[in-house]
Amino acid sequence: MKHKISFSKQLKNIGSRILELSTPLGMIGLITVSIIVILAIIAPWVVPHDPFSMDATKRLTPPFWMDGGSSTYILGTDHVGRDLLSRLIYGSRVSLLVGLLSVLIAGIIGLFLGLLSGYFGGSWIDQSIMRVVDAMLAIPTLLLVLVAIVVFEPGLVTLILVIGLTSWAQYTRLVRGEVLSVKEREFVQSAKTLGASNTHIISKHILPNVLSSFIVVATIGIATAIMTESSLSFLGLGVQPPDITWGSMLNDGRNYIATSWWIATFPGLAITVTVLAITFLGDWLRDILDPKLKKGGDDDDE
Amino acid sequence: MKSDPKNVLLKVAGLKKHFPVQKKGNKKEQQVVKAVDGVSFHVRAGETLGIVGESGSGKSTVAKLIMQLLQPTEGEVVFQDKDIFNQTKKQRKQTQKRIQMVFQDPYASLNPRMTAKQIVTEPLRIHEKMSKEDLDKRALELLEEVGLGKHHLNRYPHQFSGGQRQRLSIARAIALKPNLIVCDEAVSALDVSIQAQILNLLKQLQKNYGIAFIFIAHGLPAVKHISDRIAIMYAGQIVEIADRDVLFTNPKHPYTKALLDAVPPSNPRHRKEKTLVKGEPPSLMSPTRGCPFVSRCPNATEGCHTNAPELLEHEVNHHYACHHPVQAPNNLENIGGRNS
Repeated sequence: MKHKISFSKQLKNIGSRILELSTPLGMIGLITVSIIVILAIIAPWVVPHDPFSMDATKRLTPPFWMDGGSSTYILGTDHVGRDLLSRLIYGSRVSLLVGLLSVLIAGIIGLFLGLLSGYFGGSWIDQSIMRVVDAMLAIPTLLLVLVAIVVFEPGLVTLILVIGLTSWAQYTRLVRGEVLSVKEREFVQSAKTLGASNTHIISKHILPNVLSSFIVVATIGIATAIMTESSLSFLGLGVQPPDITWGSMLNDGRNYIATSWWIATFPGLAITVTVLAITFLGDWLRDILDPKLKKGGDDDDE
Repeated sequence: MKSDPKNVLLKVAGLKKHFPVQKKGNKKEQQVVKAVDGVSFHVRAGETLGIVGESGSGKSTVAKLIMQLLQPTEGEVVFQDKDIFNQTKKQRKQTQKRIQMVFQDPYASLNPRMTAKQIVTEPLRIHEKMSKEDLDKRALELLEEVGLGKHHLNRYPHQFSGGQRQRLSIARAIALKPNLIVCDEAVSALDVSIQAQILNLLKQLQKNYGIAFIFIAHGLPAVKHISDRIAIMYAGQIVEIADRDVLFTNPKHPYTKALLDAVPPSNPRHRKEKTLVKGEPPSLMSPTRGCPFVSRCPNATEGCHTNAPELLEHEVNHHYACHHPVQAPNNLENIGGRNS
């Protein structure tokens, strides 16, 4: 019971911290991302139309506020008469899934190798990990992903794996740098004089102190992964039809951009808004994850 | 605070630590910085040894060697009759339990993401298997021991003041009931008023638990209050070591005399004549044959340049390394900074 109380108290603390440290941009990010996530989860129950059903008679219907638009299709229809709004909502599922899972994969690899490399900085372990990282970072991710997609069969799982396995290097580099600075701090030295094991030092002293900057970069990594997914789907190498993604919707609209601008514009806007909101969220997370930071600045200079 | 003179807890013999440095653009020529160059002393159970020296004199390196954070180039550190650099992993862990350290900077030596409870119980979690209830109980005991209370248990370091943080460091250091605590400039980052409080706390703990201290500082006033014996370090060597009162009344080494004269008198009207040291300490890289202090010594003669004096016991319990020791005994009344 004692445990539960302290846990709910902690939750309350976090809640009050979020309110205390709210900034306009952070709130915009948080609310927007929450809406997108909720919509993605409840998509089957909220979409006004079946996103897959085609209706040739209704093709290229403009959004409702334009001439010829109808309130049945709020954002209009695409070249085969599918409802754009419903497709947008469904498309968010793939985007978020790819974003989250690929960053999870990349993050776990990056965090692990970064901790190892930084903690044993200068040793052969560090040297070999960093050379691989250098090689990975020298090749543009998109190019690497392209090659991998061509070799393996395109699809959702491939996409997640490939994006995840090609983007861990930046996390490794970031975490390594943070570890190098944290491990020289006196509290790590003091743990060493206590006779603490390497595992203890890494998990209790180093990891908690590098986690916040890692989370910030990982959040922005989700945005990047969504962009990569969209680019690949736009090129037809990502998620395959009939699965809906914003990237492939963009591709659909490409041929009609001069006459029916809405087909490409709305998925484009969706990508922009999501990426921007996640970036705002990431920036703001950095602030609330720092135990020292309070609204109105640092009360306790070092 | 007099203890059995035979009861030696820690013995340091001929300790040397040389750091290799690479000269820029000349990879073949390797030079060494002799940070610690042949240091010997001992600490008895329950006593306090003050080590005083200016920046770069090697005092912190000595502390790191005793804490096994560094490996020595030469020499040995014997703790409870065991050479600490020559032991199995299990023995090593036992030694680490018995020697603890308090660091200089209370802002850097505490993990900002741990609560006070987690900080003070960390040594227990590493070395002892204790139940959660026992740990909680012990955490409170430790905090109360250093003058903090129950309401501090779940606070983070940034919510404490500098003095309180140093109290936390001390609580962590005494958690395992060690025999020796090394305090590396433990009070120099604090306000003068807080310094006295922390020194009193350390004295109290020593009285209660018979802990021996090695108290490192860069000035004599801080160690005067707490030390039984004081060693003066200069350029990686000990130049004088004596009982506190002897050292303050009858300093033999010109450097000790200069350090004493540098302490401002408590009454500014009683200005005294000062011997001030001029110049810089010698480079620790260039090999010297003579006395390390020769370039700044007022008493130096030709012989001092070529012949390094040895640290010898010239009087009972009073070692110094000088060919031309200071003659006139210093009057205790004239020494300022008396805060005891």
